[in-house]
This record gives sequence, structure tokens and C-alpha cells, in this order.
Amino acid sequence: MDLTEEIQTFAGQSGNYYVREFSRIQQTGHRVWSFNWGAALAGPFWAAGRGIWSFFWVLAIAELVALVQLGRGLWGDLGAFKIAEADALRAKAEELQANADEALAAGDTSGQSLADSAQNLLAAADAAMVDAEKLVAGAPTLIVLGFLLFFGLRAAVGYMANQTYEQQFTRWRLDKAIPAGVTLANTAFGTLLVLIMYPLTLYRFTATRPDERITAVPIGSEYYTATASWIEDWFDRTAEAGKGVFDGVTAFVQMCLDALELILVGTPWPVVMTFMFVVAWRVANVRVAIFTTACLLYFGFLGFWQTAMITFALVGTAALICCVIGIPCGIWFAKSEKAYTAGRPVLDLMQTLPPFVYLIPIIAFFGTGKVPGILATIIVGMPPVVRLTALGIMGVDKHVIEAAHAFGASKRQILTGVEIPLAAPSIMTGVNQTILLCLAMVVIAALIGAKGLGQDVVVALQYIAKGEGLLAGLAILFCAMVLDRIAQGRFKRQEVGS
Amino acid sequence: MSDTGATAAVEETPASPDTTDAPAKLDLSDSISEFVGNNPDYYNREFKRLQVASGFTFSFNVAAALAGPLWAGARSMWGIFCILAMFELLALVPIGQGLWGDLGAAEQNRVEKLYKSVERMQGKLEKAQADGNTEKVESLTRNLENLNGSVDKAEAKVVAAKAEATFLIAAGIIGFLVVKLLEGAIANMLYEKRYARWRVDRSLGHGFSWIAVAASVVFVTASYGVTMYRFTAPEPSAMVVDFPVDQKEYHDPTAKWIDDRFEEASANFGQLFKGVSKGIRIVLEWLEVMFVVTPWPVVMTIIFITAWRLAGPTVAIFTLAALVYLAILGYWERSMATVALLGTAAAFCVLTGIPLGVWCAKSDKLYAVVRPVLDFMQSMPAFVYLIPVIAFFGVGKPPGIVASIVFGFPPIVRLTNLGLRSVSHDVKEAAMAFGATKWQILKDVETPLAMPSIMAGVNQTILFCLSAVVIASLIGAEGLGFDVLVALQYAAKGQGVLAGLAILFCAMVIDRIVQGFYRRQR
Repeated sequence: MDLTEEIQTFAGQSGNYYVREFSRIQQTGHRVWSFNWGAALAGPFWAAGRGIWSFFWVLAIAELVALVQLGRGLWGDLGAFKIAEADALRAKAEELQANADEALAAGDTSGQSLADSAQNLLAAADAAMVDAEKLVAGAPTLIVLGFLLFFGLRAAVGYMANQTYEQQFTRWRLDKAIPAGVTLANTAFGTLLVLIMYPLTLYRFTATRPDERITAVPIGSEYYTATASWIEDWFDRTAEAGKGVFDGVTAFVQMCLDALELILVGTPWPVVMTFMFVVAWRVANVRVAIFTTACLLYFGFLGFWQTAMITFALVGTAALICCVIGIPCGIWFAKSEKAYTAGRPVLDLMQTLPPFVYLIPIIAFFGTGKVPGILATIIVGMPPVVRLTALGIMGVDKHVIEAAHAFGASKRQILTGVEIPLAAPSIMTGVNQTILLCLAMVVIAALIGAKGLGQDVVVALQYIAKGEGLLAGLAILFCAMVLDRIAQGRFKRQEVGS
Repeated sequence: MSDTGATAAVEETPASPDTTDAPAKLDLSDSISEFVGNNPDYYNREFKRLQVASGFTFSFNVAAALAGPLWAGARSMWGIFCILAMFELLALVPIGQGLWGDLGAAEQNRVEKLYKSVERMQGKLEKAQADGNTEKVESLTRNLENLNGSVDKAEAKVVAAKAEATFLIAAGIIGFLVVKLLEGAIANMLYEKRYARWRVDRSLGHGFSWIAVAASVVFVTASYGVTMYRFTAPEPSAMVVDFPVDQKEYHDPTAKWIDDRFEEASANFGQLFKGVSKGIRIVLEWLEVMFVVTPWPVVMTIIFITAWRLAGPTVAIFTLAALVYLAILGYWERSMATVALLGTAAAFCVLTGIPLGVWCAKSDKLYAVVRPVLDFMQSMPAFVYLIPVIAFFGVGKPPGIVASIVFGFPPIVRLTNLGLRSVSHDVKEAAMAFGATKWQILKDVETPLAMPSIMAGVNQTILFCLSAVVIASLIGAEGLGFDVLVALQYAAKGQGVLAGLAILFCAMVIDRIVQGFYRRQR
């Protein structure tokens, strides 16, 4: 009693039919055989008219596939390209034969070989003709296939229509904003879509030589060239205008890198190895220290020592700068709502973009080499540390901060003594992620001339040297693990300490 | 930090305002004395000063400043020992280079050679003068003048190099003094922190030990000596400059061994890899027909309306703008090829990743196995995947897709698992009480509730796949990534930026549509 009216309102046209069918479907727990002739006949138009758009799309695309097969079978020039090929081969053969006759007439011995190749070409042409005939002979199969597909689809539509429409009805009862009934606008829109899609697609797939405006966007390279050269000019001008800034940034990064390279690359390896062992041991624990030494020995014995140290220097510089800029940034974001709303989309964008893409503006402004590589790495590595610092500090319990206030702590004391220690797990996770992202980026940065293990991988890829590539890849993995374990060990010890 | 606070509290609680010192001294001085071992009075005084002050207190430790790393070593602070030694070395190296580096050596050599040729020339000139050959005398005089000019220049260079040596020495000495001052200034602070930690954890090394002193002396002399030798010797031994293992010794055989294993594997399982390639190729070809071969107005309309239906008008307009950009700048075909690649990879990831995630959520054992594998997959740079992929699948589009699948797989598994695991137990129990079967609970309760998490996983997977597809252009998977790669190789900024923007738009359109979709679902 109750639902009948609702179904009537929902279905609009032929309400009685739907009342009957829906109640049948609703009463049984399992699938019911309920065939909708209207839907089977009208297909996508029915779906569009009833506003079931997902159904419409699936149906329209599947129907197009069936119609394309049908069209190709009915009027498509199936063997056309094979026939064209055969004609071309024949023409070539005739030409050769003529040459051969001439040569034979002149008594030249090369005439015989020419005649042979002409024969071969003729045979190939015949084979192509046979293929073409086969293709043409395949037309009835295509037609049958297309018919079967088309009518099979329609049958499936008839069968599924009421079930789908009933689901739509259930949703509509919850949310009356969902379209109900048959509206003219929906039908017209669906018809329009079908009219755009079907003829164009059928034409594209069945015409022997479809119009070029259909196969490709009919726009030449004029916009492309103009825009590209405009951008090039703009970059050149900006690079010229901002030379001081770019040079300053380069000099600063270069300085950090030089210091780290002096320590890691310049210092004799026994000293570096001992230092790293002791640092890993003190910062994390003995197990990490032993692991570190094992990794360093791997670098040494497989000849990656210098490249690995360069990689450490690159990643170290990038990660250091990321943290030095990122942590204060994160604190600022946590403190200022406005800054966070402004900064968040930028962070999102930075994380959405494939890292590859950063390289272009970087080369435009900074050229190629290690420093530009580090700058690209910094851009990629920055978001996690900023985000997780902000998250950590925002997640500090308000009561704790209030308690610190009550004890008379100044803002700075709250920050350094309460908020940062409590947010440390989150910040450390951010640092860790940043280090890993930097390492992943170091390989990509090798494309613009940042040396190190990344370059080994890139070179190995170019020459498909699997063994070398894998060894270098493992070396990168070990670099990542050493840095990660040391940082995590530090963090765990802090946790135990507090 | 908190330990310091506790220390201060312990000190001050029993104290009346005017006799703060006496009980505090009583309380901690024994423990400080035990901690420091020798020279307890000094440290008692300094630690107390540091502990009582709430702000920054300057406390200079002369012994630390003089002994530097040796002091840290003797006090068994080995981490700090290493850092101090490193900084001292940084300052000492320029001093050493200035003193013994023989900086002008090359230039000096040149000057001496020049002097010799001047002498020879002089002899010839005298001979010519004696012979009375005026022509020869003239040309020789000219030559001699030129030579003298070069000698002057070379000598100037020697002087410059020597001057640089003085500069280096000066800079090094200043740096060394700064390091020393810093060492003195921070020593007590660091030592006090260490003391606070030691009070919590008595297993930490403490006190002053002669063995530690000896160890650090040995270490410092050895490392300083080797480093100085490396930087000041004119031709340092190769032993010191690089790890003394020849590439041929281990690297080449290992690389060869790996190559052989790969060859074997691809010979033995060639059929399998070919089958996988073929499966991927079939899906890819279908998608390419859909996106690339279908007339562009049709594809554009479908994408526009999909965006509209799934994510609303704003996203639809943005999508249209992005598509128009792609079309006008001639990226249509390549971007659609990229989307087809991405679609294939993402479809494989989602179709296998969601069931795996569901299974992981149901079985703790399986998750314990899968998790480290996912961690490994995520911490490996995407480039490295390409290597085994090339080995087994060759180059071209299917291998690129395989690499993208490996790269994009983890987020969907992880987030599906997370979403299902975080479905509240009460809800599941309620469903069970209503007699729902396991399958019904999964389908109608858990999956809808976990949907936001699963959709976030799908979104991340798609974005990961996109960045991997771009990288896969290195192994011949054509598309937009290839344009960026070519632009990078020729430093063609304009082309690179346009192709980069095309990738950006593809990523943003997909991201916005998927996000809009799951926002609506919520």
C-alpha cells in the first residue's frame, strides 16, 4: 500500500508495471526473472530516459563495440589495405620484370636474378591477395558476431533493467535528489550523446581512409612551437634577472655539499668506516653498527665506495636542508591556521606530481650537475617532514600545553620543552620518510648529472647491464637502510629514554 | 629534557628559599661525583650552575677545549668524540695542506724548466754574437724576451700558490680555534645531559678511564695521521684514496653471476614471462583502442561527462580545460597512450590488490608475511625495479607496465587492509546478530565502511602508477614521460615544461575525479 504510491511517483511513466515488478523483486531474497521489454528495445535510450547514467555508459560502450564489428562486416573495406599492398607489390614486380627483360636482351647475366626477385614479389603479392580474400571472407563472421553481441546485449539489458532500476529506487527513497521518472531533458541528452558517439566512432572504424580531423586533433604544431619558444624565452629572462638569487642558492648548497664530500669522500676510507661504525653504535645500537659496517664493506668490496659516499653526501645535504627548512615550516603551519590552508594545496601538489617533472624548471634555472640534482631532491623530499611535523605538533594534547602554561612556561619553552618532544615520534617519521624519498630521488637526479649510485643505475639501464644495475640498486637500498636504521634507532632510544 | 626538570625539582623541593644550596649539594653531589670519576668538585659546581639556571648559562670547560675529542673519549661519550674529531679534522686539513702540501710544487717545477731553457738560449745567443750572425741574434733576442716574460708569469703563479698556502694556514688556524672554543663552550652542557641520562639508565658508560683515553689517543692519532697523509702527500697511496679492492676482483664476477642467473631464469620461465606480457598486451591494446583510436571528440565528451557525474561541475570544467590544453598543444595521442598504460597498470593493481588487502585483513599470518615485502617494495627506488623487469620482459610497453604495477601495488593493499581492520567490531557483531553470512558482512558492512580508506588507496595507486609510467619511458614505454626525457637530454626547457604540464594535468584530472567520487560516496 505504502510503497505503491512511492513507486508510482518514482517511475512516473508506466508506473503500474514497475509497481508489479519491484514488489516481485523486493519480496524474493534471490534474483528474479523479470524482463523489461521497453529497456530491451530502447537500450541506452531507456537508461538515459530513466536517468541511470552508469548503466547508460556501460551499455553505450558495449553496444558500440558490437556495432563496430557489424559495420566492419557490412560495409567496411576489410581487405583494403592488403589489396593495396598486393597492388604495390605487383607494380614493383612489373618494374623489375621490365628491367630483367632489358638486361636479358642486352645479354647481362644480372637479368636472371632480377627476374627471380620479380617472381618472388609476384608470389608475395599473391599471398597478400589471398590474405585479403580471407579477410573479406571473414566479413560474414564479423556480421554474425556483431549481431550476436548486439542482441545478446539487448537481452542482458532487458533482464538487468528492472533489478538496476529497483536499486535506483532504493537509493532514491533515501535521497530524493536522485532523478526520478522519465524526463525529456534526460532522454534528449542521452540521444544527443548517442548521436555524437555512434556515427563518429562507426565512421572511424569502418571507413577505409577516415578523415584526418577524426583520427587526430586537427591542430598543427603552431601553438606548440609558439608556446614552447615563449616559455624558453621566459625562462632565459628569469634566469638572467634572478641570476644573483640562483647563484646564491647554488653557492650555499655547493658549500654544504663540499663539506660533506670532504668528510665522506675525501677522508680516507678507514677513517670514515670507523667513524660511521662508532656513530651508528652510539646513536642506535651495536646491531645497527654491525649492519652499517656490513653495508660499508659491501660498497668497498664491490667497488662502490666512492659512488656510495657521493650518494651519502648528496642525500645528506638534501635531507639536511629539507629538515632545516621543513621542521620550522611545519611548526609554523601548526601554529597558524592561515599558513596551513595556504600551504596545504602546495604540499598536495608537490606530492601528486611525478618527481621527474621537477627536473625541468630546475635545469632551466640552475643548469645540470650535482647542485641542481640536490635542489630537485629537496623539492621531492620536503613535503613529508613539513606535513608530519605540523601533524605531530597539532596532535599534542591541549591539557599538557595548558599544564605547562600553568607552570609559567614561556611560549618558547612550551615549544622546545613540551610540544617538540611530544611530537618527536611524528617528526621522526617525517624525517625518515624524507630521507627515503631523497634516496629514491637521487636516482632520478642522476638524469641531470648528479653523480653517485644513481648514475650507475641509469648507465646500467641504458646498456641493459642487469648484473651491474642490480648491484648498484642494492647499494642504494643499503644506503637507505643504513640511514633509516640509524635514524630509527635514535628515535627508539629517545622513546626508551623519556 | 624531562630528566633535567626532575633533577631541578628534586633539588628544590626540600629546600627552603635561603638555604637552596646546602640540601641540593647534599642530594646530588655524591651522584655527580660518582658519575664524573675524577675532578668531581669542578663538575659539581658547573652542573649545579647549569641545573639551577632556567635559561642559557655559559660554562667553559678548559680541559675539554684543550683535549677536544680526547676529553669526550675519556668521558666515554663516543658519539660526541666522533663528531668533534671530524670537525677538528676539517680545520686541520687546510693547515696541513698549507704547511706540507707543497702547494706551489707544480708551478716551481715549471719555473725551473723555464730557467734551464733560458740558459740554453743564452748560450746560443752568445755563440751567435761571436759568429756575427746578426739575423740569428735578433730572432734569438726576441725569443729570449718572450721566455723571460713566461718566467715572470710562472714566478707570479708560484708566489700566488705560496700565498694561497698562507691563506689556507690562516683559515685553518682560525677554524681550529673556533672549533676549540666551541668544544669548551658546549662540553659541560653535553656532559650534564649525559649525566641526566645516566641517572635514569646506569648502564651508560661513566667516569674517567685511562683505557678510554688510550683508545681515543690511538684512534685520534691514527685517523688524523692517515687523513693528513691523504691530503698533504703529493701522490697519496691508492690504498688510502679508495677502497683497495679492484673492480675486477668481486664486482665483475658477481655482476656476471647475476647476469647468468637472470639468463637462466628467463630461459627456464620464458613461457611464463611471455604469457604475462601477452596478457598485459591484450588489456593494453583494448584500452589503447578505447582511448587513442576512438575519435577524440567522443573520448573528450566521455571524459568530460564522467568528471561531471562523478565529481561535479568544477572538476568537469577543470577537466575540460586540461583536455583542451592537451589537444591544442598536440599531446592528445601521447597523453591518451599514457592514460592507457596507466589504466592497465592501475587496473591490475586494483584487481589484485583489493582482494589481497581483504585477505591480509582477515589473516594475521598472511599480513606478517606480506608486510615486509610491501615495505621492501616501497623503499626501493622505482628505477631499480626496471632492471629485473628488463631482464625478464625486455623493453617496450608491457615491461613498463610490469614495473608500474610493482611500484603502485603497495598502497592499495596497505590501505584496504587498514580500512577493513579499522571497521568497528560492534558493527560486525550487530550484523552477525542479524544473521548475516561472512560474505554478506564483507560485502555489505565492512567494504562500505572501509570505502574511504580503499578509495584513498586507489587514488594513491593511480598516482604512483602515473609516476612509474613516466619513469618507464626510460625502457621504451612511450607516452608523455618520453617527451620529458627527451627534453631533459637536450635541455629543451620549453618542450620539457609543456610536457611536464601535460603530465601534471593528467595527474590532477585523475586525482580530482577519484577524490570527488569518494567525497560524494561519503
